[in-house]
Amino acid sequence: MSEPGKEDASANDLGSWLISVGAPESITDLIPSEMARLDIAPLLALFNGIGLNGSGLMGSGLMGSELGGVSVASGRLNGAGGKVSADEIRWLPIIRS
Amino acid sequence: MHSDLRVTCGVEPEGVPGSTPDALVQLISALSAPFGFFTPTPGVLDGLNLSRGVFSLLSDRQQVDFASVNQLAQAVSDLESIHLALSQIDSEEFAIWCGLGKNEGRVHLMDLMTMIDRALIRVTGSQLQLNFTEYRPSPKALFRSLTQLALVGVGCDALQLQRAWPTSARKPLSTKWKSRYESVKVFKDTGTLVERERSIFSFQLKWKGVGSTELAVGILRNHLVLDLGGVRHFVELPAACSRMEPGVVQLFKNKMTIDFTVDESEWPRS
Repeated sequence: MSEPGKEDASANDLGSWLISVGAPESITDLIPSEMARLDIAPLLALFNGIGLNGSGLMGSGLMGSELGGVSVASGRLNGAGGKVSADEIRWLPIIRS
Repeated sequence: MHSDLRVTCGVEPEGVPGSTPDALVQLISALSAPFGFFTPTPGVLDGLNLSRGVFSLLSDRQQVDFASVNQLAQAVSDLESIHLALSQIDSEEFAIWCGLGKNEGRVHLMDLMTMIDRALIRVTGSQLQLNFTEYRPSPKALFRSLTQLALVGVGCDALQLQRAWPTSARKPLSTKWKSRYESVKVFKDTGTLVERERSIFSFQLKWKGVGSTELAVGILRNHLVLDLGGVRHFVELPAACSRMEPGVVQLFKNKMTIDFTVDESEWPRS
């Protein structure tokens, strides 16, 4: 069994999600790669927020992010399978005057 | 501008009956049906627990109850967050995907976003009533919650608040707290980008009293994230900021500024 964190990091794109809900792996050959890499993390997080993952429809461990505010790890995957960091909240240093 | 919504804070809400918004049901169906792996039905979705506060705000009821001011602020923040997440889905790629799948996914996505927009407008114009009969927070905690509520655009009438404070309370509200509650102003500014010096721009936002808050400021794509104890509000940044590097946030008494530095290689001047 893979570590939940690692699984989450790779399952937010459309292709991985389709496979996780039961599609054959060949599904990624049937849809354009640009679409297979489409990030659906925000949508998954929304489903997570309404408890849809609890029904088992989307597979366990798929949705690690929560939407109590946008703690969503969203973004398009780059060619190397890494995340584009611009899609995470980047907290800025604060100076109080 | 007032809406027809009345919100009570301080009353444990009853379970909200009703069904999942049609737009959400249709969005899920539209996204999943072309692939045929599962078909969630309205019956299945009805059994799910949509976050209570969010669901209450999305419902068309005229009266909704929240256990506390903080819970209301969090629900509005969640609703804003969901809206932002949905707006990120709405991309060229998504539109193409919907087109190729010959489904109505984008239409339903738009419907859902419109529904959330409407709910946000409704709650910011709502008549807010506080009730301390069941639970009375400390003046300090209440001040913090009211500031969170103001951050997400919902105001509270300080006089109404004072009247709601129970006369049986061991301590009446002090003048100091009354005046602090009156000082809380709803956050409304959308910001201004000004050139401070060559290659450095400053994005300025006004909010009375911001300097004394524990505000955290971040950036998510083209939005500024303002976070106050987990309650978040998002401000869209001018398009030019996407080509600049954000720097330090400065909090003044009644305004904040965020510096953006131009990378000349990204954006050469003519």
